[in-house]
Amino acid sequence: MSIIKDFLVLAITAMLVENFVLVKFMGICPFLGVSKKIETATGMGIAVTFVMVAASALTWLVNEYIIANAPYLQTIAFILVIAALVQFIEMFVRKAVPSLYSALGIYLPLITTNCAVLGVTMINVQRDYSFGMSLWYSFAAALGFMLAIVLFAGVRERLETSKIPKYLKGFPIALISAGLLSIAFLGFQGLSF
Amino acid sequence: MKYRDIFKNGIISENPTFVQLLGMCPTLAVTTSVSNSIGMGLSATFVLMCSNFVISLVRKVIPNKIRIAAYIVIIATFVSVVEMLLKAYLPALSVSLGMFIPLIVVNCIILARAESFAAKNSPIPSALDGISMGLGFTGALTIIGSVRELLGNGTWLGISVFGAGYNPALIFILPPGAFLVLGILIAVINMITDKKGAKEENK
Amino acid sequence: MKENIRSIIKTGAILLAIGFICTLILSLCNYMTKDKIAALALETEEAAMKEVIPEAKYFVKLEEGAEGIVTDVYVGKDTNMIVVGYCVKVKPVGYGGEISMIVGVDTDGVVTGVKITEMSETPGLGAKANDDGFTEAYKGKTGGIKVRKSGTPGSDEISAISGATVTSKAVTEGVNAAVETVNGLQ
Repeated sequence: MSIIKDFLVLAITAMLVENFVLVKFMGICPFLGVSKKIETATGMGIAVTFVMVAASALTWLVNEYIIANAPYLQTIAFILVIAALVQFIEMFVRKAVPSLYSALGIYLPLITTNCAVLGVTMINVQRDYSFGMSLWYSFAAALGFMLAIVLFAGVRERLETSKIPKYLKGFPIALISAGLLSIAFLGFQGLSF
Repeated sequence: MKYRDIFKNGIISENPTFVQLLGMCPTLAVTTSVSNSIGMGLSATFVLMCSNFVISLVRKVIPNKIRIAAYIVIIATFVSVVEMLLKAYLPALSVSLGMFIPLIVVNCIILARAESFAAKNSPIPSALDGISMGLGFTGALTIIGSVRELLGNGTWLGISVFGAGYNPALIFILPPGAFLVLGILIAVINMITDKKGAKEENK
Repeated sequence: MKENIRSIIKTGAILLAIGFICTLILSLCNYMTKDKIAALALETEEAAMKEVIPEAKYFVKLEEGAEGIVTDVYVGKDTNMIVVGYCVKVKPVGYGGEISMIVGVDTDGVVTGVKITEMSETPGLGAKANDDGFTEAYKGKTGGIKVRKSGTPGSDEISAISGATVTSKAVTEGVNAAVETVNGLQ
């Protein structure tokens, strides 16, 4: 039972309490860049989820078996794995599922420089998660990313039709709304198990 | 003259943070205090300068197809070097910046400058472009960090400014404060440039 | 076709060469800094241990005592090699993950000092645990400490950092575990 509880607590922590975007500030670029419409935000969220889980699995193996004696190579090895993985997924999806490619293709290259992906792989190592825990944590963190970006896209769709002071239009008002959303997520900090 | 343009570009007219809106993750995450902001800014400046210089040196050798991969490897190398140097000589800073040091690798400013400047120019101007963009980034972070530390903690660079009677507005140090401060700062900058533009038109 | 293969090999070779050179640079850099980093870690640890038991000059690691959140126990001796207290390293789980701290306990089981060496608590809230005022309050206590959210703390109580009860509880848990470990040793 305690294992199930551990996993559930980890999921809630990753998704809400330490939400990657709104609390840990990882993956801000896509969060602000592709959140103008709910559909594109969802697409990005799915693509990120996929890459984050796959990258966690690969980097866990790389860290455990290849660079175990050379932690100073961690950054360079992880970013290479991620870049190669993203490239590979892009080629595979383009050949195998063209319809999915046309929906997600444009987001894939952007994910290499999404710090949420590199970030999650580093947290896995830093916290010494087991293979299963790493996968689960990255999945939950990615869902948290998706939750934040989709919620934010909803807010921005409404902003489009609102009257906004001249100088706040565009990016500034988007940041301020993100700030308000972040205050809401701060409320989860009170959760204790 | 040309070099002056490079500096003006990086620090003011194409400021990576306030104008190009790049590298938002570290901008929001580490600006809880002025010292963190400066540390982050200078680390990124060092990486920018070195990676721009080296990428410009090897730009003719690298085939187009693998250029992004090659850039990332070069950038990651310098980031790891910075990480080790900080750990060895500035351990306090290395602890407080934590994961955001290795995450400089995915800072879009660095890849963007490699792609748009270093890949097309010779090494010396590229290195200077790296320095100026880095200083622009450092300056922006310092401004944001100053606002957040002043309001959220009542101090500047650790020195108490408002005295003990000031009850700090904690929200500015917490994550939401980062978004709010940056949003308002960009609005203010938009307003200033707009007013300036209008004045110049009237002349 | 031949052209194609040649270009693939050439591209691969260039990438390999870049990777090789970069790894070489990194290994070199690691070689130059690793001793310094290790020495620094040892130094900060020793400084922290001296801070929590000021009378001690030498520290010897004990094999026993490490259990649960207690990771290491050191015995502190003064210049005459008389045992003056124990340094207990504990890692309770706070709000933002583990809090690494060193607790100094003298031979009577009284807390002589608390030093937080590493934590990732929320800046402005939990991170205030590192302020001297908070850790100072543990001095002179003898274990079984409880956290009090408001009002004047009693003799075995600690006032929680406002807005950071989880962190306060974690630090207290660490101190209690340290005292218990030391009492178990004697």
